[in-house]
Parts: sequence; structure tokens; C-alpha cells
Amino acid sequence: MTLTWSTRHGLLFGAALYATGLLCQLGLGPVEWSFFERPFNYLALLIFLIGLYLLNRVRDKAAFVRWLSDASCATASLLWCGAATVVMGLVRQSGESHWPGFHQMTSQWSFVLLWAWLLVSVVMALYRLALPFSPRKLAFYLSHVGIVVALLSATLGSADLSRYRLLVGEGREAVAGTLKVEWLDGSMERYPDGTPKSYAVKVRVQDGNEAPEEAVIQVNKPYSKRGFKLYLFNYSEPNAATVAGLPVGDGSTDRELSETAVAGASVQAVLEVVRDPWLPAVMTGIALLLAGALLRFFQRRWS
Amino acid sequence: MSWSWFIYFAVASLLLWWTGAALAWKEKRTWSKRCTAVGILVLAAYIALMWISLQRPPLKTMGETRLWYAFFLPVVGLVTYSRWRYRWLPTFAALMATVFTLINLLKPEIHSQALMPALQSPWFAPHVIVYMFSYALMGAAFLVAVYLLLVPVARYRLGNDGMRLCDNLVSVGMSFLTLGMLFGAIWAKQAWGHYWTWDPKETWAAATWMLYLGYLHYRKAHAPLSRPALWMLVWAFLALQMCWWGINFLPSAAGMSVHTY
Repeated sequence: MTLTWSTRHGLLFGAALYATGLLCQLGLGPVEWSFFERPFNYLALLIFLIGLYLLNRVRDKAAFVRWLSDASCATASLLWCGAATVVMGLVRQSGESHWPGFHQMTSQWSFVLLWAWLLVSVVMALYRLALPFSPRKLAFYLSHVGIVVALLSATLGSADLSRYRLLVGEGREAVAGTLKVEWLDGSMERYPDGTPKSYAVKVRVQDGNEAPEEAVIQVNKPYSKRGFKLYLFNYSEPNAATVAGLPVGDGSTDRELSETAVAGASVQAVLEVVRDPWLPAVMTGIALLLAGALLRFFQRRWS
Repeated sequence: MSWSWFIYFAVASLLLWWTGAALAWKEKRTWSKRCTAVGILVLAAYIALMWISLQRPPLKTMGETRLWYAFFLPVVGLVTYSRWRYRWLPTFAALMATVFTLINLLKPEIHSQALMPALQSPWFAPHVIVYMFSYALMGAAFLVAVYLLLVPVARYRLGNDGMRLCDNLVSVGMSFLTLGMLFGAIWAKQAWGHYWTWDPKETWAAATWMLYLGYLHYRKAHAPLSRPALWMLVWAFLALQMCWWGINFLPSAAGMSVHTY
């Protein structure tokens, strides 16, 4: 198997980065994402983008800097990130953080450094190739700006994300921060064979000093309000054979408030409140990526 | 309409596709395309009738996703054959479609199950269909890559054309892979509260996405026929298989994935 020099170099660079990550993990422990809580994520964002812009200005003087924007650098970083993600898929992500951190890859230095390298290569490619502007580059702009926006806001924004679980039920009111949720009604529909078809809960929601509002929440149909979304996470009826459990992700500030569940006494539901101030940015990134993928498909001339 | 009717539609489609494949070898292009197209219509009719009688898109079980795979493979085969006129392409497509049809015929798992609440979403159909289409394209690219890697004569005769075919298939497949992943992220935000949670299925989808993207960036700078590029297609396709069904058997993913229905 023969790789060309530049890609081979890139693969070696990735190996060095991986080793550096292992050393960081040994000395510093796992990556603490909570460090990036506002305003540090804004600061990190600025430093990242301006730092790379300044680096881009000396690209003609340093071969390495120039290579960072090259397709071979993109290839190497993608293959390394792909391989590291394969490892993540093969090792159970149980959250144990002991060295070398394979059970909690999202906080593993090597993993984070490889992804950072991928982002560096995308941003450097954008800085080098963005000008002169050409409509033919539109798909390139959209997909590359899209991935930068989506990845940066998803990772740096994760520290500002908060998710609460609320247990509500007959005669039960729940409070999370400034949010107050009052139970009104709940219902479950079943298929003829008894498996649940749909559940719905009706609650009164009040955020801070705003006027209270009534909301019907279903799976796949969260209640959206400026700044937060309210999901139906779990629904159970008294003595119900089926307790409908719906999964939740590993939100960095998951706070379990549903521990005090009273078993089977009455109709009750677990709601999840998600406040993600970076969501509009992530969704913008996703929209750009979507547009890029579509444009690429329609613009492509079959060779 | 039920699965007991499947065998009639399946046999009719397969006969038409294999007739189309045989005609392609005899350079009877127009008739080859007509046969393939009618075969596709027959299976499309079955999918449509199933959709109506189930009162939901037939996209929930593995069996149902195989149905779409068997449908899209000849579609991709037909489009690429019309475009590049490789005689062997309809045979490849027919062969792969046969594999998926046979699995469905020989392993009739329960297909008429009801849809669970988390799957009742307008994102469901686009998410899965777009992924199936992309898988079909990547499957075709994988077969071409293996053919070029294993058969020296093929490298001499097809060489650059075969590699270009891979580039085209992966390039189009990449657009659909991206759409599928992002539809999934938007849907996850609606259903589960977050767009990305590193669920095993998502992890393998990300790995697959990056390996194919690695291939495309590698191809930007490299010679027409490149063995490392062909190997990348093999590895990327293995990751794709892991994402699609492999995680069901993976100890690291057991009980961890919310993508189990």
C-alpha cells in the first residue's frame, strides 16, 4: 500500500497528536467541558478563529501552516477522527474516566485533539480558498462553513446546556429554576394488542414572571418556548403493565429530579426541560450543511 | 396486502431484473432498462400497497428496510447504467437486490408490528429512505472497489473508469449520507431532547461519514487508480455495515442504543 507523501505525513502527525493527548490525559485527567461555561466559550471561539486567521497570514512562509489547509491534511484528519470514532464504537461508553479514557471518549484528550485538528483543517481551508469569491464554490462554502458552525457551537456550547427532569402527576407541581409546571391532565391511547400508541399530558407552564400557559405535550411534539423546550420523557398510568420509558442523552449537566417517583400510585409523567442557548447556532450549521449537500448533488456534473 | 403476498411480487421483480441483467450483457440496452424499470415498478407497487394496508410507512422493521434496499439498488443500478453503460452493472444490482429479497423471503420475522410513539414523526420516512438510498450507492461503490482490488484483469481493463465510477457513486452517496444524518439530528432534537448524544448508532454513523469524507478528500489529489483509495472504500463500507446492523451484535453497544425497536 503506497500513500503519497503528504497524506502519509498527515497520518504521522495524527499519531503524534494522539500520543500528546495520552500524555495530557495522564497529567491533567479527562477534558473538563464545564470549563467552557459562558463567557469562556465565547473567548475560546474568538481565540480559535482569530488565531487561525493570523496563522493563515504566514502560510507562505511555513510549509506546515500551508499544509494545514491542504486536502491531504483534511484526509489524514478525517481518517484519524474516523478511526478514533470506530474505537469509540467498539468500547463501551460507560463513563469511567481512568487513563487512557477509552470509556469516556468525549472527554478523552486524544479524541478531542483529533477533532480540533479536523476543525483547524476546515477553517484553514476556508481562509485559503474562500477568496476570490465564485458562485461555483457555493457548495464548498455552505458545507464547510456549516460543519464549523455546527461543531464549534455544539462542543463549546455544551457547557451552557442544561437539562432537568421533572416529575409531574395528579396534585403534583414541579419547579426547575424559574420554571413552574403544574399538572392538569394525562391520557394514553393503545393499539388493540395493548401496546402504547400515544401518550399526552396537559400542563400549565410558567416561566419567571410571564403569564402561565397551558400546553399539551406528546412524544415527538415538545412544547417550545423562547429559551427552552419541554419534552415528554416518561409516562405511566396506575398499575399499568407498560411503563413507557424514553431515553435521554448524556447532557453534561443532567440533573435527575425524578428520583422521588411514587411507584404506581397515580397517573404521572416525567418531563424534561432542555435549555440550550446555542441551539439556534447548531441548527444554522445543520441548515448550511443540508444546503451544501443538496447543492453538491444538483451541481455535480457526472464525469 | 400482507407479507404472504410478497413472494409473488418478489419473484416477478427478480425475474425482470435478471432478464434486464442478461440483456445488458448482450448489449440490448433499451430492453435491459425497460425490464429493470418494470421490475422496480412491481416492487414499488408492493411497497405502496403495504404502506396503504399498514396505514404507516413500511419502514420500521429490518425486513421493511430490506424492502427499500431491494427497491433502491436496481434504481441506482438503472441510473448508473444509463449513465455509464457498464454491462456488468445491472448484474451487480440484481445480485444485491436478490440477496436482500431472499433474506426477507427466508427469514419472515414479524413485520406487521405496530409503530411505537417515538417513531411517529414526519422525519421518519425521509430519514430512513435517504439513508437506504445512500447505502445502496455505497454498496455499489464497495463492490466496484472489491472487484478492482481482487481481479487484476479488471484493473487493466476498467482501471480509471472503475475508479471514476467509485468517485461518482461515493460523491452522490455522500450527499444522501449527510442528509440522512442531519434529518436524524433534527428528529432526535424533537423526540429525545438533543440532536446528538453519541448513541452507538450515531457514533458509527459519524465514523462512516468521516471515512467516506476522507476518501473524497483523498481523491482530490490522487492518481486515477489508487489502491489506498479502494481500501478506504472497503473500510468505510465495513463501518457502514456496523452502523446499519452490526451494532445489534456488538457487546459495547448492548443495551446502550436507543435505536432499537
